[in-house]
Parts: sequence; structure tokens; C-alpha cells
Amino acid sequence: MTDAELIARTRDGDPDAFGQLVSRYYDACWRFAYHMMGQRADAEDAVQESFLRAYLAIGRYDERDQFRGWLFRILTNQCRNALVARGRRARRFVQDDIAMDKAAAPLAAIAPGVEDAALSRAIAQLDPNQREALLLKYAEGLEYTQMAAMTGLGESALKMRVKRGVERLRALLGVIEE
Amino acid sequence: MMTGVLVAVGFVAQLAAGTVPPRGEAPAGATAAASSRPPTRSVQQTLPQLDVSRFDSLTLLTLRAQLDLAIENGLPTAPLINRALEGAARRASGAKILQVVRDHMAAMAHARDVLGAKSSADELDAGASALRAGIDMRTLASIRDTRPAGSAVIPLTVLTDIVRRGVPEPTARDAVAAISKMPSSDEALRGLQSTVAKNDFRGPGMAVEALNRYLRGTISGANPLAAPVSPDRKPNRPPPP
Amino acid sequence: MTDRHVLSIQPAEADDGDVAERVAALYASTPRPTAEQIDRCVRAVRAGSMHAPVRRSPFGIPATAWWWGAAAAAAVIVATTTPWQRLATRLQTDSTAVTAAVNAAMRGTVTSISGGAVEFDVVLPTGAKNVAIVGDFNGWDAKASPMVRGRGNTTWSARIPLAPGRHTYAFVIDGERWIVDPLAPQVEGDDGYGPANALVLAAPSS
Repeated sequence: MTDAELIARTRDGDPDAFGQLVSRYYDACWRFAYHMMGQRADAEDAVQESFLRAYLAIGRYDERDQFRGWLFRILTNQCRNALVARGRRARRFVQDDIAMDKAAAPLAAIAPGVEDAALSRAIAQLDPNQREALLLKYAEGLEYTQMAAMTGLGESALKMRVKRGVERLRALLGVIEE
Repeated sequence: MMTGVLVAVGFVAQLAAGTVPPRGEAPAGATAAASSRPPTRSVQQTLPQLDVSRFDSLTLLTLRAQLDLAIENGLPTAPLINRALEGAARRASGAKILQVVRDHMAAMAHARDVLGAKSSADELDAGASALRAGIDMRTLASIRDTRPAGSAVIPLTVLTDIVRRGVPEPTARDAVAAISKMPSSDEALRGLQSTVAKNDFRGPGMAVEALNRYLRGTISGANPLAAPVSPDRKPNRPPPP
Repeated sequence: MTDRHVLSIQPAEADDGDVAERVAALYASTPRPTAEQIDRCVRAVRAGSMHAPVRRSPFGIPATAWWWGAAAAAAVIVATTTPWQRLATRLQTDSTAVTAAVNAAMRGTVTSISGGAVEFDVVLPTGAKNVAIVGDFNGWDAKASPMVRGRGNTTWSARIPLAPGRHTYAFVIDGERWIVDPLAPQVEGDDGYGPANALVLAAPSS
């Protein structure tokens, strides 16, 4: 069944239809959230919240959009909001070194199975805006026009973020790799 | 709108009895009197009751869980019960009813975020309707800025209606906010809704034109704020003492 | 879905190629979600588990509390800051469009009368056998408040005691067809059950 058919069924109240959409797109969302959030639990929360929000908003989905793009827009927003919230929580405990460490680079828990742990850690240390732009561009492989539609930012702003992100990654990786 | 929180204490009794609980003195429905004799019974604030016989057991169970969640989150349950009963009356499927109740609850939570925790149940209900009509939360915030807690029901209702009729949201927001912040402007707001509704039927773009004319008239004082706007549409207020 | 990101990486600048490739490779090697994890998500959305706000200890260790509704589809409160997006109005093939056409010729008035009651008058384009008013004041029960016939079969009237505040209502023709007053304020529509009217009754001035 096509996405459109599943969405139509969801709107009609078919309880299984949206579940199939979740199965279809979970992996893609997970991959992005995993690297964006840098923590497995946060990533899972973000993905689930995004699907929930997509479900609640399915009445507003416009068939002219690609479902994947629409879903990703929700996902990127969700990740961004969650990171802001996490940043606020981290700042509240600014005296607590452990909290700052955990908030900044908590990827040790994810490392098993991820080959390029150094890159993983470096991405986690990027400014969230740069991280998001970098992932959309080089991990998701989107064109700048698509990224602009998704984030609401101008293409030149996005290019700048990608550029800065790459520079910062180089710096971080250079330091780590010695 | 009936305000208040449905307490689930009597729920089990309702489940067992399977009937609509008695509403005491208040007239459960209307006595549609033909003559000009006014109704003799006084109006009471009744809480809508969840008539268990109108829902299948699974839907009912889930509705109860939804209402529990609303109570936990401090959201009014009367609007949700109202939506459920409406769905049952329209013979909507259980899934549809649950979806509408769920969506409305989520919308009320968002409405409370922007309208404030001191908002009345009617304001949250109206705010939820506005959000579900696609109105932006920031627009709701603009309306809240014009009216203190409890007094934004009419602006929100009018805003929702004229946006649904195709007035662009920024135009609608500016018009409603401009009138709303004037003193004693409820009648003027009703007049705005009425003008837009009438002109909407005349053709595309007519509603916005009429809105602009009306707004200019109201602000300049040409349209009196508190008087009825159009003679054929009686205002919704009690006659003067 | 193909792993197109591996095939179509275009670096922002030529120098970025090494980083771009490395990011793409990292992405491709992301540990897959377990089937259980996906299932959890599906169940959470479909069965609508009630999701507690995620609580974090000061040390950044999540303490998510989950609990499962006793039945299917309970409500979810989702924290979000994204505004609800309005779509272009979808044409509906259900009764709403038909209702709108009929409504265009229906006329209603709402009048407040003393004692806290409201009189609803409607004029229908065609005659009806019976007309009822339904709303939050009578549990939307079409049997509760039949309207009284006026001239011919086209004018109908009802007086309803109403508390001050917001009310929603509609009219039911011959026990089946739901219509709304086209000029009175409306609510709902596309993703609810269909349009209803709203009225706000002012408190009596003292």
C-alpha cells in the first residue's frame, strides 16, 4: 500500500494503518535522531514523540507534501526542541561537572557497534544547528532546497552552517586523532 | 458551557445502571414551548454526563482513561464529554470519537500553554477549536493580550469563525484584536462575525472587504460598540432591565 | 527506500569530500533499531499509551516512566512548540459538502429571552417532518428538544434554558440530517465530526 493509502486509512480510523507507516519510516527517523540526539534514550523519545505528533496532526497533512519530508520536518523540530530542553537542564546544574559531561558527550553508551566512535563523539559536540545541517546534507543526502523547505532557513544560512560544522569536525577529529 | 471536572466516583454506578443519571432539578433538555410563556424552571449548571448506553464497552473504557488523563493534567473534562456525546449522536465510529476527544484534549493543553493556566474552561474549549481550525498559537497569544483571563471567549469564537470562512489569519487577528481591546466590545465582535458571514456568501474576497469596512467603522466610532449592528440579527444578550 | 545518501553525496566544497564520506559511512553503520523498539513505538502510537513527561535526574540519566492504558487508544499530551499548520481546505465527499449547500438556504436566528433562556428560530428551504435542536445542553440527543413547527413546515422554533457561556449546537432534520446555521459562528469541520454552531451567551447584567 502506498503512503497515501495508509494515510487515508489512518484518517478513516483504521487502527493498523498508521502502525504500518511507523514500521516503514522508523529506521530512517531513528538514524537521524540517533546522531542528532547523541543518546539512545533521547533518540527513541524523539522518534516516538515525532510519530505521535504526526499521528495527531495527520488531519493536517497535505497530500501534496511527501510524507517522508513532512515527517522529517516534525522530527527535526522535535530533536531541536529536545536539545534546547536538555541544554536548559544542563545549564541549571552548571556547577555540576558530571551533568555537563553527560549532557555534552554521552556517546560512550552507544559506542559498541559504531565503528567511527571518534566521529560520533565529534558530531555530538557540534553546535546543534551545525549538527542538524551537516546531518541533513551529508547523512541524509538532501539538496539545499529540500533542507530549506524543511528547516525554514535560507540556503546560504544552511551552507554556512554546514561549512562551519565541517570545519569544527575537522578540528575535533584532528585533536582526537593526534 | 458547563464548567467543572467530572468526578469518576459515580462512574462505576453508571456503568452498572447503564442509564443517564438524573440531573436533579435542571431541565435535561429543552421544553420547546410554542407560546411566548417563558420557561418556569431555572437554569442550573449541570455537568454533562457520559451516557454509557451510547458507547460500546471498549470505547467507553478508553474514554474513561482519556478523562482520567484530563483530570490529571488539570484540563476541563466537560468539553471532552461534550465531544464524545456529539460523536455518539452523529453515529461516528468509536475510533473516530476517540480521535476527536484525543485531538481536542491535546489542543486544549496547547491552548492552555498560550492562554494561561487561569483561563476558563470555555476559553480553553474555544482556544482548542481555534487551534484545530489551524490558527497559530501566537495569534491566540495576541488575543489573550487584549483580554484578561476569562474574557476571551467571544474574541476567540469570532476569530475562529472568520478564519474558517477564509479571512486570512493575520487580517483576522488584527481585526479581532483591534476591536477586542476596546472597552465593551463584545457586541462589536459579534457584529464583525455577522458581517463577515453575510458577505462571505456574496462571493470571494467580499468577506475581507466587508471586514475592513466594518473595522474602520468601529474604530472611527461610526459603528457604536454596544448597539446591535444589524437590525435583522438580534444580539445575543438579555433585554435591558 | 534506497540508501541514497551513500550514492549522492555532493560536498559543499571539494575539500569536504573526506568528511562527507565519513559522515555518510557513519550513518550507514548506525545500529539498527530492534524490532521490539519499533513495536514499542507502534504500540505507543496506535494503542495510545499515556506517556509521562520524561524525567531526568541531575546526572542526565533518563528516568522515563511509561504506563499503559487499560484499553486501546488513550489520549496523549504531546509537548510541542510547533504551531498547528493549516492546510488548504480539503474537499470532502461526505455529507459536509451537501450540508453546506443546504445550509446556504437555511436561515436561523438566536434570541435571548428573559429568565436565562434562548430562542432558536430556523427557516428551512424545504419542509421537514420534524426538526430537533441538539447541543451540549441536551447531550446532542435529537429526541430531547424537538422544535415547534411554525408557518407551514419551514419555520421551526425552540426555547432552551441555557447557562451563560459558550455552547455548541446543531439542528437535526427528520431524525437524520444534521445542519448548521450558516450565518452563526461555526466550529469544527474537517477533522472533527463536521460543522456545528457556537454561541456565547453573556451573563445577565446585574
